[in-house]
Amino acid sequence: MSKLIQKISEMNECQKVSKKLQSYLDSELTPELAVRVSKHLDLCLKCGMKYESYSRIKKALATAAIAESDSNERQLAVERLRRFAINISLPEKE
Amino acid sequence: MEGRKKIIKMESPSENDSVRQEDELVVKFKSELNELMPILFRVAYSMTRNYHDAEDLVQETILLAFRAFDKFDGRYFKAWIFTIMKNANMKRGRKKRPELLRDGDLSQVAQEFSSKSTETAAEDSLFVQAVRSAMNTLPHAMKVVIQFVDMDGLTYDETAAALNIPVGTVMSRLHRGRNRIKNNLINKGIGTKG
Ligand SMILES: [Zn+2]
Repeated sequence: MSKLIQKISEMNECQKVSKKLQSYLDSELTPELAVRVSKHLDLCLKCGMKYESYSRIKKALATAAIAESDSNERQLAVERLRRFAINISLPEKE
Repeated sequence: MEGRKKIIKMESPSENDSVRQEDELVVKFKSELNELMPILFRVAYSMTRNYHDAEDLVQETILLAFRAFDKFDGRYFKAWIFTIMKNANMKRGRKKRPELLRDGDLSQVAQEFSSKSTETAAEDSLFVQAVRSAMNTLPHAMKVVIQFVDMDGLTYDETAAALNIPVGTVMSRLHRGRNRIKNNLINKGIGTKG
């Protein structure tokens, strides 16, 4: 009986954690919730694999972003804009 | 803050030695702006999909931000400036938003990785391409949110501010979008594990 209850509570935890996996991946959970998800991921293979899928997608997109932002043209534009921003000035208070 | 004229003046670099008595907020503002510039440009680019227009939009945003400077309280800088950019972009009447990803982008990514010689790198590159093309099949609203969070590294709050939508909407679009990408990959038999 107690085993059954334990099983049910594990399933409930899976459902709850499942809904929080992506926010956890994005570091958007409260510290308390993050700890709870992290502890569950240490124990649950199913949720762990799900998390790994999201994580790989996120990493792939970050990789693509770096590849696409390396262009020289982009960097030159950013530098021009930096100079523009630095040289702007508010008039002195009178 | 009163008595400060809302006039923008350009300073030539040679005048820099006559250091202005800029208050702390101006210094903070400029340093945050400097640090944020690559992201500002990326966000502007995701709105315009064109380097020239993106640069114009950032410039305009900076000017508007300086004009509204007395409304800046030193906090939530990103949210504040993204809101300005979003409004500026709307004013520019850029309703048309070309696709986030064109075929050229994909081959560019592929090329970027072809220099790596290991099998893992090739696998990684294929995976990146697969994720990108899966992302490309999503509705525009979902794509933009994923672009901001996963490619530009913005938080949910910052994305909400940049797009002028509630945080809950950011979350549901992002989470549904990633699930669709995941399912798309599974359907194509591309493993997303390990
Ligand atoms: Zn679980």
